[in-house]
Amino acid sequence: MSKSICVTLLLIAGICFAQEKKSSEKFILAFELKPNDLELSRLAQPTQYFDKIGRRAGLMGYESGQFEMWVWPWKPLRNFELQFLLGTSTQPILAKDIVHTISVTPEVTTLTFTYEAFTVKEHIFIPRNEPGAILLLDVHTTTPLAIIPGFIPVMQPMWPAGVGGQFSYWDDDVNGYVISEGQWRAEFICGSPAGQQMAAPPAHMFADNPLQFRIDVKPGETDGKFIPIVIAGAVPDTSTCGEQLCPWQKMKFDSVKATYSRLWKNAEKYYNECYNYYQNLRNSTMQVITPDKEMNLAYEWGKVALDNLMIVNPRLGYGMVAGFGFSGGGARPGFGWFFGGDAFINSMAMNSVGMFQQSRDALAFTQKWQRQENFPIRKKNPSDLLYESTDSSSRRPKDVGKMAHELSQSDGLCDWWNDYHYGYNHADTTPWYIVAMADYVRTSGDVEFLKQSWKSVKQAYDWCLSKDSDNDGLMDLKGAGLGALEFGKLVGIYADVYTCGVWVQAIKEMKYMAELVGDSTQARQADGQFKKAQPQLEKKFWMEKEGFYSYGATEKGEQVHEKTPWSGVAMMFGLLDEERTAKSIEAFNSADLCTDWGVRSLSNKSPLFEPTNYNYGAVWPFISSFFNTAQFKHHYSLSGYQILQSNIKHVFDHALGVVPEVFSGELNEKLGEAYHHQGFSTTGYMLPLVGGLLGLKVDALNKAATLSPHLPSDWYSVQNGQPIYRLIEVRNLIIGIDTVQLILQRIASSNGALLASEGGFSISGSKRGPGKIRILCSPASEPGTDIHSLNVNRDNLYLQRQDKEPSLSVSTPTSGQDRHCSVTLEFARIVDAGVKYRNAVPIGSPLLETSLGDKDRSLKIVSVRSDNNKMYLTVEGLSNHSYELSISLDSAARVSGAQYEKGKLRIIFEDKPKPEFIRKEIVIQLK
Amino acid sequence: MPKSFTKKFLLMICLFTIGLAQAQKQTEKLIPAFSLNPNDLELSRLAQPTQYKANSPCGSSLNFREGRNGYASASPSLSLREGERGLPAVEPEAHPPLADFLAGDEFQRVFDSILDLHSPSDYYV
Repeated sequence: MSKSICVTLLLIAGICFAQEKKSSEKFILAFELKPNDLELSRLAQPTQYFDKIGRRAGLMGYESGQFEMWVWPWKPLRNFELQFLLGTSTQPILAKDIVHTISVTPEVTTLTFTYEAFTVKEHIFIPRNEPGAILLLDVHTTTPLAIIPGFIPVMQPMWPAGVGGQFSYWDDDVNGYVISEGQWRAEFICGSPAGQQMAAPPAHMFADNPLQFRIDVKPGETDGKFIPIVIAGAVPDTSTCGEQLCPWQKMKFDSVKATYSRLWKNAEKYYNECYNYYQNLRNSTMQVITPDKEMNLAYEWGKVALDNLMIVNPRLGYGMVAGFGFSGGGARPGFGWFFGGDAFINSMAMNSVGMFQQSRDALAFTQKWQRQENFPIRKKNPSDLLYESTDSSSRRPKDVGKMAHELSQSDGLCDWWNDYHYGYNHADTTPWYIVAMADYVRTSGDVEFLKQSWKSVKQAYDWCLSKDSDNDGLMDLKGAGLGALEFGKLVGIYADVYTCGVWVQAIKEMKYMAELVGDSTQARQADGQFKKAQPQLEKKFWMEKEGFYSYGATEKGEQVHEKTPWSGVAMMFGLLDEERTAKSIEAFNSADLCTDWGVRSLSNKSPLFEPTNYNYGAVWPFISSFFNTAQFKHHYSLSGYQILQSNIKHVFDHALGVVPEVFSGELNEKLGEAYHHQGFSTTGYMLPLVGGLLGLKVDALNKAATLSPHLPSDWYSVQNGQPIYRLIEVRNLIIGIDTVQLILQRIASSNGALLASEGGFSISGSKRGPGKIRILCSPASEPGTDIHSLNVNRDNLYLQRQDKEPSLSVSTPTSGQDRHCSVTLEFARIVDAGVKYRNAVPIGSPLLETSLGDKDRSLKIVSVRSDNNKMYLTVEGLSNHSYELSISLDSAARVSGAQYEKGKLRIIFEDKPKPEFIRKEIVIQLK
Repeated sequence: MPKSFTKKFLLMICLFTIGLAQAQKQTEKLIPAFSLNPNDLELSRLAQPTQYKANSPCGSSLNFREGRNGYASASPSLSLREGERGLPAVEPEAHPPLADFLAGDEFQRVFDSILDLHSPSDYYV
């Protein structure tokens, strides 16, 4: 008897111990989230988009806390959200009703929910290389609280594929719902070690209601602890497939279970990995510090937004997608699949900041889908025509060398290339590939990759050459595919200036690359082709009467007379006549194209203009990137800075840290159809910031860089209440195997005025790495700057033994918008030089005043010119408005067209029956 | 006066009257805009859709969470427009005018910190 009592007692003790252990394992120890000076915080906007993206998974949702989950290419669930029950109440408190703040760093997003009896902080992050997401709840409650996470299971792949036979069930082993489909090609678990089942899903189908589970928390129980919630997936591992495409196969349940446990048990490790990854991204690439705080933040967030485009698809591999967005009841997570053109354009922004590995990986991924004779579009039947012509004498395989426009992540679950026609339907993608390859090689110095890719580059070039039906040297859209536009009245034209501009740049770059790989025949051909094609750009697109370049032309040479900024691409590359380029930019600087939130795709004076039309009037950061870079390249600093600022504001006004795809042409608000996180919209400000405002170009193979900035005259920083004249600091500029730091400062005037009429600049450089590098520093100063006092400050010039004497030069661009005093520095470790000159009339940057929902209203600077002691300032302003512009004039100056008082120009625009922008010229007679 | 002309005339008068009435009606729907006076007591921030909600799901009112509706806290510090967040613009060491800066030890100190130089004499003539 006593023996059986002992056994029973031992058994009870064992059970209690096990229960206690289980209870203590349902939470994890809390850990500190590291401070991050990139943090963006604000009051949460419950219907505003946010996302968190990793390499293998991403979640996209609203700041209310509701989100959908993707483990590429699957969407296991949507409408994940939290509810709360207080005490014995059965009335749920919805998280979306009590969300208070959102705080975002690259590694983690925190939503804070507050109520009278509890505060819950939800930390959300995606482990870098795991197929899942981790949510950590930091809970403080004064009464017993039940937290109810719930979601709607989806278990569908990305569009256009689809599957059936989905099911879900609660698994007590993992305290979560298992979600999969009949063939078990992917499996998911959503749950928490602290979770208790609340729903009983039907067998072999999904319920209509959310699957919910319950987490009970007593006051004080979670002090010093986090409640983990995990969404984990099991998909094939690409690393096991080598160069082959991974087949979809049945996954083992143990696999997803192991991932699920690994994620919640090692949450701190995964958080640290995320933190370290983004710190490394920041520190291993170029950093830029300016006096503009918003610009500094946007720059660093730009790197994060671009890096997040790099994802791993279990079947297709590692490449760059175009963007992300909320799919809701659909199957398109923004543009979360692979686009060739977007990857090529974004790679240029990546190159400019030193993200070379990502750029190379993105390019290499696109090479896998370059069209070949029987790949990836296959000849299914012997009778299929895969040739250019039905004529038996012309048996040239069709479109060999053409680069893919888009590739859905669900390829393999559907036959993307053969059953859908989108794969190769753009013409501009292939010349962009050539341009992107050259940009990568020039800035990174990676000639080896070019050599490996040379066959592919030549195939692409040959395909472009074959699309010139009238033999004028330019690519036609006819038979080649879509160019700038995808629908509407202007889509059927023969050639557009955008595609032709990219193509002529591709020819130029082909010569450069052929010389690098020693292919002299190809270099000669490209040289001849450039000489043939480049003049045709002028012939085909210049419109003398309008005074700007046309968007496109018909086969008969009839030009499109609409004003669009698409020629900005050719201007950015410097392919067009300088004088005509200047005229075009001044025409485009007008308020009918330029708004306070970016550049319209079409003049609002055009009969085709519709403000919410995707192709005919909307504002595109993507188009801005080319035109804005062209503004700086051709010395329109003031108007360029306005457009750059307008695009940078978008980093903070919708989803934090990312830029939406497209905006209304009439109001500062994104279009409803626009996705929130669009890669080329980030490029929209990154490219002009680095390549335009800073004028920073790297030629790694020649160990050289150019710093030709066009900076606002009124830039300065304040420290301890005193102005500091440091303009820009560039850290970790990568030039081949060297890393360089540059500091550009303004030399203060004797009276300390910010808009100094006497001044100059100093450039200091230091570098790590062997050998010497050459930096051409050529900051813009105002038109009319006095060159006579240009000199290097010899007393303070530091040279090393192997350094060369700096050389000085002065140039005035054709546009007459500024002057450049240049100093060339060749040094091994440290250099410092000061250049002094006398400014003419420094003009401050106009105030950009705009908020979401606003109409266009800020002053537009069209041009600034200096001639015979006179300065001509052309501006546009809204009728019945007045504006102020900082300017430094001496007392003898006379101003017409505006009033001058105490360092400010006051510009008044007369009243009109209807509000409209009016152009005005202000003439300043200098003494 | 021909009868047909009279008819047409009456018809036109009739149409004109209707048109005038419509136009009158149209203009009465809207009033001329006027400016709201600026006021330095203005408080603004991103709107919170459920702020000051009278009836919460549990029947009690939600707290006025800002808790600082006085003069001093005109807008919450979390506003994106405040310019409070993020990277410092530039945090260089305060330095004297360029000539002094370059001639002095400060220049060397700045670059020593950047490059971790062993000895300046290794690098300068």
